[in-house]
Amino acid sequence: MGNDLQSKIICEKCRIDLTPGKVTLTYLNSSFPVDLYKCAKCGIVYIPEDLALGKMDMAKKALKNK
Amino acid sequence: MPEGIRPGGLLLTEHLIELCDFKRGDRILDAGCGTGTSLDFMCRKKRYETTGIDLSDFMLKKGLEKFPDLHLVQGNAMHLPFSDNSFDGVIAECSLSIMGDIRKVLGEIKRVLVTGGKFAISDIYIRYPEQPGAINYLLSAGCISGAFIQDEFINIVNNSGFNILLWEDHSKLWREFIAGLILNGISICDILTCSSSKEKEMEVLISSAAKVKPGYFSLIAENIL
Repeated sequence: MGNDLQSKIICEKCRIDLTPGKVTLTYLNSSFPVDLYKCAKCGIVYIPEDLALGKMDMAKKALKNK
Repeated sequence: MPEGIRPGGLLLTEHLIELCDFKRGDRILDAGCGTGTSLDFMCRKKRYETTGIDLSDFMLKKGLEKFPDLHLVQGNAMHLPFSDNSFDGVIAECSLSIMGDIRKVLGEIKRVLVTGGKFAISDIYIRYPEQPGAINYLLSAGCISGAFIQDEFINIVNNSGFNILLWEDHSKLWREFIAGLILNGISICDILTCSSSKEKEMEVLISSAAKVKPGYFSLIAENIL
């Protein structure tokens, strides 16, 4: 998966553009609908760095603040 | 906090109205109905005779674009534009805490409810109000600054002529709601203040929030004579 000159995100396997859509993330036994880019053919989802490294950590803190 | 969404969504709405045991054809008021999502659900799925009231013209207009058949009224819950005993049930989801004078609002809800009618609430509360910093948090936490303190709130409801039938904690839904907002790119600052704020103040606010642990509850009360 990688970016081309127009900043499109392409599925490495299927060679088609990923398109935005609602994806359900399951994290710490909870499910969240999130808008992410995914491949319409194979279904692979692109998780951007800011989500993986920043928002997930903040969400984890929110979920664990019992 | 973003408009039109709240912890638990329609699943919690359905849970609340089932606990109230409303019947088909019952006249139900949604106080603080926003864009009418719950009303549409109650009208279509439960066949209640529904009315919604909200202070925001903007929200009501958006609601009528989505659900043109709903009966939506613009107005203030402290002065409900309805006659006495005109509803069998009232529901207020994540709205009571931002309606202003809680005693006035409860007085109005009691007035428009029939005797024995049920009032269903879901809203935000502070689970550890004795923590240092709790008051700072409540005073500065923007759109959730009206969060209730359980004992105080229960006293106010009881003293307003209601009999409390049930209190349930749904704080897991609150945590999931906040985590969902974060994952969708809404910052803690947006959630807590609804406006920009100084970085230092935000640190204090976030640290206070971690201590006082905001949560979510539902309550069912019956209108008594």
